[in-house]
Amino acid sequence: MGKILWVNLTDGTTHTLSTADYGPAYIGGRGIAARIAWDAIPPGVGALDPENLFMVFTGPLSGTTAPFSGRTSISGLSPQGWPHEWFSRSNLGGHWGPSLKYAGYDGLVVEGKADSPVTLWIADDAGNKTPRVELLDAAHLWGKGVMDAQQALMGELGSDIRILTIGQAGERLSRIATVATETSSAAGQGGFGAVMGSKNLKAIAVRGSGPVYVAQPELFLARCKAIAEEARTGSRFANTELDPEHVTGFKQRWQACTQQCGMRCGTVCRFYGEVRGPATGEVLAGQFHCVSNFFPGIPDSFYDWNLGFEGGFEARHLSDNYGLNQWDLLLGIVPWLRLCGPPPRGPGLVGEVNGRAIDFDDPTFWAHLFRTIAYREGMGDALAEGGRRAPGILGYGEELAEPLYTAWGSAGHWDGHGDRGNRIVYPFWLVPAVQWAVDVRDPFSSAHGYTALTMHWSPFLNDEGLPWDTIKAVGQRIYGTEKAVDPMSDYEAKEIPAVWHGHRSVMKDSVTVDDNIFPMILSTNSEDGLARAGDMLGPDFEYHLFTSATGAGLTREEFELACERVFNLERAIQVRNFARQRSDDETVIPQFEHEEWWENPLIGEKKRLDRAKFLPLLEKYYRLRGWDLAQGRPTWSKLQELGLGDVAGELAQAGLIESDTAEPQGHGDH
Amino acid sequence: MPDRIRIKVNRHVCSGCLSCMTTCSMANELYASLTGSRVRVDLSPFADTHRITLCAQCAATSRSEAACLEACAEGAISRDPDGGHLIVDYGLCTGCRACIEACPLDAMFWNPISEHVIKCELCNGDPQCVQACPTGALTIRVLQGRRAVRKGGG
Repeated sequence: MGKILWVNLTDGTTHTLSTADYGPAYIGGRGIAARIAWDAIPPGVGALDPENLFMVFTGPLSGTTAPFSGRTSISGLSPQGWPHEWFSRSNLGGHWGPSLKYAGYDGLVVEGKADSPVTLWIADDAGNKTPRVELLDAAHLWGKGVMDAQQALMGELGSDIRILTIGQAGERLSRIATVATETSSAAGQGGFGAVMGSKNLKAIAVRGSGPVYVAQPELFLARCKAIAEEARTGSRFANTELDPEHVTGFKQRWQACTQQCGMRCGTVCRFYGEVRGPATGEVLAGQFHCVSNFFPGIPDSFYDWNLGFEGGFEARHLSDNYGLNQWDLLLGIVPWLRLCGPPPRGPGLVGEVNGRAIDFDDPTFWAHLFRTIAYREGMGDALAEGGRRAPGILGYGEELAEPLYTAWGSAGHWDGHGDRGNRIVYPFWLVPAVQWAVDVRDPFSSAHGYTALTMHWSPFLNDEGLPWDTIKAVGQRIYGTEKAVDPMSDYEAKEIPAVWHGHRSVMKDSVTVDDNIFPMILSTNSEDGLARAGDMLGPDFEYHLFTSATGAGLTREEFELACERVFNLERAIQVRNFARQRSDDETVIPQFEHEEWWENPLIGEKKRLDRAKFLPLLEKYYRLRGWDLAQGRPTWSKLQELGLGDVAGELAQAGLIESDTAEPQGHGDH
Repeated sequence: MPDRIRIKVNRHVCSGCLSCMTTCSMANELYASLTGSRVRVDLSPFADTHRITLCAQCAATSRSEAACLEACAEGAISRDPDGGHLIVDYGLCTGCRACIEACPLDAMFWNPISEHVIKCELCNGDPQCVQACPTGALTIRVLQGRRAVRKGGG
């Protein structure tokens, strides 16, 4: 167990907290950040206030040999949050988090606001003896893009440093500003780039040369190897090949999106060394992956603009460098502008952006659009508030934006409605519907597990997918009922995976491991379809890594309980700071009452959410969680059970939940 | 007798995941780190390919032995009698770092955590970095005959 560095930018002071005071009850990463937020972000604080905390955390597995463990978790009040600036989280890859750990810190808490732009510089040059913590003047970096700022800092401090930074969007407090590292790893959702910007914090540079110890090194290393081997040989995402045309034409090569990636992942592991951008004429280099794949346009889809590979690559580069949230651009702002635009597609509510005619097949238009957003020029001032807020500011197209923005200021994601790129069909999107309902952002930064299970691994998305009988048998095993994953099921049992994957999301963001790989549920290596490594079952991999790394003598149940504790604590923060209640959760319902975007081939018709069936499902979810049905809030007794008695007390004192401490009366009557 | 092996490096397929480095450090030092690793990957996140530095187990020639071995006044560096690779005897090593200065590949390092020199000694014939590498940037090469270890070359 290590230390947490607390930096006050207002007065330039620092102090440390002991991680041992938080773990293993709050695991690490997102879990510890939630506890600190409960303790130190009172109601009334806004996301861009100096009192908001910008928290960046590694987890107990960061920096170790654990496969796929390089991710970094970011927490704080979220500028992108809608209609409130909820307490939220985001995460990113790269190599920054492990380096912070090597420098001797498990996490950073940044409060206050510097008088002028600064870089927080954490340097441990001699194996963890005394890490140096300094605030460096960043006036010369202010105004630079994400990649330019990093390269400038590497020139000054050394090429072996790792940097988190913001671009022009974060400096101008855009609610869709990212926190980024390297060329295309960013904490996109949440708008945390604006939180850094509001604190005059341009960058956090780290050099880490110290050790990370684990409790049982030999056992831990053996487990890491076994799990990495299973991932490499049994995962559908494992080993793709480079594109020979892109290798010769654009110098394509592998580049892990995060430290400890153990495979050649088809989703993200692509770097291009030489692509000439058609709008700028510049030769560009960087990663191209994940949401980037929307940039060129996807023929025969909702996103059917035609920018071409080079144009798409350049648009990716520009938006990454400005530090703009690509999910909000590509699934929100751009589709919304097209829907608002000139006939035949739109009603002609808008025809130009700051004097340039809208043309999404023209790379120079994309360059123009991103610049206006990043610098808040003209119409870009409204768009910089994010696609959910922009229509209200501009005064048109609100009804066209709503179907794209599934909830909380986030454009759709694996919901079968707002997101028209990731195919998911009824009844499977009922689980995301519940996940979206109780969240404060797009839940799918760390909750792909269920959609992977039912879509990626099934015959619905994959010609060689596992048969439904296999998936159902695995569903029976992990959820206790095959109804949870039965393609012909209804609303039945959907609350169970919604809870299960809610805890998995906390687990992944807290230990920390990659969402594309974990939880490892299915495998092509086993006859029954369940992933295994040695004597470990796939769904327990995180548990085995956590316990052998930390030496925490937790049972599986206690580890799960820790995840539940964090989930409930986060809900409690929303209740205390924003009076979160059931009626908020129900605001997602209209989104899902639209006809679904794709149809279940076994059903043969497009379905909509049925409110009369969904409300009982939501209540089953609340019951399973131990939340009250009227308000959807954690009950006194649930919070006590989770060891959150102080939280229960504070909520009860504020009149937000009912206390059970009164004399029991009339209980025999019913 | 087991095969005599070397590690073959192809930096062009390295993804920069650093699994080799953390695994090397864990296997040899029992903690994860970058500074305790005998293999070094210098990341190039913005351009070109990553640079990999690893001891090549320099073969002796008719006129000279490996530079590190020759530089060591204490006789702490020698050839493994079975594998023919270069190994450090920490009982003799004084930590003077002459070997680090002498290495033409910059493939010997000072580990500030454990405070000793480190170099790849091939993990008793089962290099852990190779096992950890997901892309094939590090692979095993089996030596033919005794060429690489016999003075005077073959």
